[in-house]
Amino acid sequence: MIPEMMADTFDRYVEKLGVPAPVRKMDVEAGDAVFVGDTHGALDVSAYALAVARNSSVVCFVGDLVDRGKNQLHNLLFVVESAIISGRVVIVRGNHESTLTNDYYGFSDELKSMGVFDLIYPHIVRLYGRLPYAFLLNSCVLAVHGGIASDLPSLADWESLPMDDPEPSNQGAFQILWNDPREYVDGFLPGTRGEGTYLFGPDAFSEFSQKNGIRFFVRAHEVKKAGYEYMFQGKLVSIFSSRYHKGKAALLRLSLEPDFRQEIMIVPDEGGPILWPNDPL
Amino acid sequence: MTWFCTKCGSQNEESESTCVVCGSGRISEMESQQGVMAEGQGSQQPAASPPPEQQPPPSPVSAHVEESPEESYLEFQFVQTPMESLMGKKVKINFSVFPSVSVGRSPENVMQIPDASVSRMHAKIMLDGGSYYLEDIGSSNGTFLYDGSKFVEIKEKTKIQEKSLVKFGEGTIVKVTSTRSV
Repeated sequence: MIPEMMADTFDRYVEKLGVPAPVRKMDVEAGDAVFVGDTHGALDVSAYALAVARNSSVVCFVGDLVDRGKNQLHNLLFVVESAIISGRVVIVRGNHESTLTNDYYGFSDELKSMGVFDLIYPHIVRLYGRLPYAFLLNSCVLAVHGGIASDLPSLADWESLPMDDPEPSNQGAFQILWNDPREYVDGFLPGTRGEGTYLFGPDAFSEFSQKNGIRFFVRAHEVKKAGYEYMFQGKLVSIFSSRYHKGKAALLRLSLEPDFRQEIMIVPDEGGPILWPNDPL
Repeated sequence: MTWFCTKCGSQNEESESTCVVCGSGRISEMESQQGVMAEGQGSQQPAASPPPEQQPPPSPVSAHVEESPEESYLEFQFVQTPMESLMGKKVKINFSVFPSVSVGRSPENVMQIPDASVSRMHAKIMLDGGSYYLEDIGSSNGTFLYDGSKFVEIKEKTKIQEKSLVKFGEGTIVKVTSTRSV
């Protein structure tokens, strides 16, 4: 009974997403947007993020909800159920929302230890294939898990990426989920995460941003001890939102007013009480 | 049961085979793998080690850094490496004292790289006839030179120059940022 209820959650979100869109677009006139990086099973961080963002116009989870951490299935169910309840909760696909990684980094094992793998994993994989590769907010803020891709110079190219691709096996989509920015790289350089991954430098980033009218770029994918890192003269931020690496879990709040004011929020550490954002200290 | 990373000191769960912070492998596992490799290769690796005189105190990256306009040097920049704090760092290697320097994970190397995928004795760089050359000295994971579209494994002594991109093992990429030979 319980596995069927979980499978139903994933199916309902697939249904709600409707026609699969590689780039999900949203226009919001006012307020702010909160971005959540890799949570990797950090259910407490996801819950905290939604609490912090309860007055925000949009909350975007920039991928990697599963693998590595302690409450992977619960984290995925929680965020997916939240996204069903509110269209203002957006989930972008990460490189761990993939059949390539789940066997190696723990999610398959967690599902097997619960005895639900065969029953619900097919539903989860179907959802992976429907998650957008990118979230485009107000036509000028782009959020992806990894970065830009060497063979997809225009966002129009991104919009024709194939969906329902469980790995994904499409090289461009794969790069969007796996690539990393580096200040000292010229153009694109093969990366060290494995075949088909690239590092991209400030010139490639600047070219892409100008061509596509991107003013601010949010991505996740890399462990940052401080929970975040700004690069490329402040036009790109990496945000990381779990603590399995013993560092900080951070969230980003971005004002949608013309000044694009940004605030990094560090999630309180485990062990201590987590205050509701407006609680008196 | 947890273990501590020998590179960055972070505590890791028993189930992790590499450090979750810096990506370095568990040294106990790495050492035993390399021990098997070394037996197969006889005493070739240790013999390739240059004299470790004038070794500065151990630090993440050690190199001869004395600066003088008359000296020959090759300068590298870390473009990609597991240790976050090394990213973007430049290292100048002086070739006026020894025309051949060693690269590897062990502290006795002139250029030490704290990356589990780099062998203890990995490669050497030589100044010969005014040009710099790179040679792999039997590393486990190879040494590669970027050809403009991919990293190609080097099989023999290969010339490197300014702007050359070199990959050591699987995790470290360095760019040659400047050279001088006198």
